[in-house]
Amino acid sequence: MLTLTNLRKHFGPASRRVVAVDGVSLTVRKGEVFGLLGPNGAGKSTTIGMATGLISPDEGTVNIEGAGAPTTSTARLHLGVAPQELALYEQLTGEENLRFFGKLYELSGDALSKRVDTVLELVGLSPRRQDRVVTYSGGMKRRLNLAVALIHDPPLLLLDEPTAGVDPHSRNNLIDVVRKLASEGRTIIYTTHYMEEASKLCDRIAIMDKGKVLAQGTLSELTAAHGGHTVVTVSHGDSQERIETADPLKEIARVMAAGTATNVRIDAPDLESVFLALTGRSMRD
Amino acid sequence: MNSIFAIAFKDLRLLFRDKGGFFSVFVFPILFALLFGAIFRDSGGAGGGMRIALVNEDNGPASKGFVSDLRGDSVLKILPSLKDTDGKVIAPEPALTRTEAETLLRKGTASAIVVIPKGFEAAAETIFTGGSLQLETVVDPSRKAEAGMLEGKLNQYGFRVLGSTLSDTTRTKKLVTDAKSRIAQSDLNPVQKLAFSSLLSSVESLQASGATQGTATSDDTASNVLGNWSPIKVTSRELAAGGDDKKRPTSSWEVSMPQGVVWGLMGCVLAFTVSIAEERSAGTLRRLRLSPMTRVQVLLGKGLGCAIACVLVQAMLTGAMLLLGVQVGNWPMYLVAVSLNAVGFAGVMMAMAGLIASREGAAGIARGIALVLAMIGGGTIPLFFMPSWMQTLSNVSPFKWGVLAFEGTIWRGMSMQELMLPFAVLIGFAIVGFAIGALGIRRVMDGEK
Ligand SMILES: Nc1ncnc2c1ncn2[C@@H]1O[C@H](COP(=O)(O)OP(=O)(O)OP(=O)(O)O)[C@@H](O)[C@H]1O
Ligand SMILES: [Mg+2]
Repeated sequence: MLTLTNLRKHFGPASRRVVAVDGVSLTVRKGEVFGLLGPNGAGKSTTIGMATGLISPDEGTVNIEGAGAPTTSTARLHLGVAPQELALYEQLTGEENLRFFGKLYELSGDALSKRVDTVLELVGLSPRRQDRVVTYSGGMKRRLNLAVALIHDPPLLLLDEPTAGVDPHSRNNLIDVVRKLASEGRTIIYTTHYMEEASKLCDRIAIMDKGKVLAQGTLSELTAAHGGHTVVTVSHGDSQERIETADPLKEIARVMAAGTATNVRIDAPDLESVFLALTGRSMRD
Repeated sequence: MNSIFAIAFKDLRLLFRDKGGFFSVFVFPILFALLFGAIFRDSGGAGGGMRIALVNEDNGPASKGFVSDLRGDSVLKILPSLKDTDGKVIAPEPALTRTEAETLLRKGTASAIVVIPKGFEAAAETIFTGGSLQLETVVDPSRKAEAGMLEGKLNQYGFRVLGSTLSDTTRTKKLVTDAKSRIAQSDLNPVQKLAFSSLLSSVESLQASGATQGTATSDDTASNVLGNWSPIKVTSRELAAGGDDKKRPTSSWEVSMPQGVVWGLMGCVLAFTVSIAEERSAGTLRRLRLSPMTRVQVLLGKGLGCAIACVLVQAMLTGAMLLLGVQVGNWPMYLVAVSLNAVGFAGVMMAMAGLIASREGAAGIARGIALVLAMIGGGTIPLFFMPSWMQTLSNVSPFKWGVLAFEGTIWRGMSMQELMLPFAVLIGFAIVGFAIGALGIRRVMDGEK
């Protein structure tokens, strides 16, 4: 559906050159939710920018299946983009924002009204549709920002940190919306620096750091390849025993048989351990 | 096309919701027009650098001397100019007819006409007998402030004519003798008779001492006693709109309203230029880029919105004008002027957007440019107060042409042909503005973060 080949992009003059994206190649398959996970400044937004055609790469190509380069008019209709920075008219109501952007995609009349109703319902903003965006909470603005990306019913969605700065309730709501969109058969690229989101939501994940993709695959592929072993922590009263193992069940059976254990904790490898293994840093730093 | 309209109407909606923008587009211009209209209702005072279209119908030696005195004045600019564009003196001295002079006045090239009628020479001979040099002036009603100054100047140079007549010894002797007898028989009151006699006696003694200079000034005592007698009689009238039977401009509103309109147009230009800069920083411009619209279509959407706002503000001020009793001289041409102002100023907006919307502090820069254009275009200080290089510079200001297009169709009674110039300039602003905007919009839309 979307292929990025060897994308490179730098910013700034030679003296203060920042290489934002440094040779990124990705293939996103039709119908999957593809996660782009990385810490601040990893180059996620720059990658998304090149995928949407807003940023022209120094090097490399972007190809959207059936539409070619992202700047063609067919590609524009295929792409739905929710930028990381909110891009809304604050003095217009939620509904007016949606109607305006809908018209830019040549929607009109009943088709437009229906579509506006649908996306407002989807993101749960119907009750506030007549209110100006300035009066919205941060979470509501996020949801509207996503709704605008959906107004023209695009098959390919690029969502850049759609949950940034949102409380846990709104976050769950947004994650549900993305799941729903995926279930409708849309292809979604989802950038985030929250590992839980990536693990819950994404079929495949690329881990980015310093402009490079360090690894990509399904969650289990990534953890199997880079996460190391499961850690079983056994407490014997006051003392603790830490066991790294590829077969945690077998270890637990052994510990239980010994009969001295007062508590057992199992830590399966996760994206955090993958990131730690790949970069030597914790992603939360 | 649908999407171009969508942008236009979205921006109009935003304009109406933005208190500051609404004020500068719709409230300020009308306040400005009302304030200035009220001030100019009974204005006096004068400035400098006044252009005078001169018509000499007499052409006698006295009138020629008078003309060369006027030409020598530092404040007055006498048209037609004696020198051609290369600075060579044109000979024989170029002359205007009354009709030509009126055309110059209507177009705003001159701010007043001075006519030296036939009989100036003959009148010069009767100055000592209570006769007067007759002059006619026609002033532009929007330039009333200058009329007072002009009259002062004409009197000043009129006295010089008197002086040069006096310096011609034999002629004076005869004149004085004639005059004395005529005064004795005239129906002047005794005080005036006395005053004239003493004036004439002092002339005689001047002659005797041989101290006569080229310039004579009025004797203070004499002129005081002489009351409202003056060697110069200036008949002044205001320029009538159009031909003879057309309406005359009746009020200062006719002058201040077009200026108010142009401020309103500039408000539209500012509001839309700023809206592009704001959309750029708010990120919505990026959303527009992601839509199937091209950059030029986005620019056209903004331009259309601006043009519609321009029509609205003009309609509002036209309404105010009609309420204040201002009559439009030429409705069809007025409507053309309204439309061309809308497209012309939309062009100015597109150019501004293309040139500055991508810069830091675009709103401030835009306001600064607008203010400068307003000032050099006569939006804040009347053009005649300005030095001539600045008057020439004013040609680049859309203010000047916007006002001219309006006044031309309201009370200047400019003909189709005369209107062609401001109309063409406005169309030029539209075309050139669009071209500059189209070139610049790429940087504005792509250069963002
Ligand atoms: N327009 C720009 N000009 C200069 N530097 C830029 C620009 N855009 C991005 N960068 C730099 O490129 C690098 C990558 O930025 P990018 O926004 O792509 O990261 P990100 O992964 O999206 O980070 P975040 O999680 O904070 O959104 C950063 O160092 C950033 O400072
Ligand atoms: Mg980012």
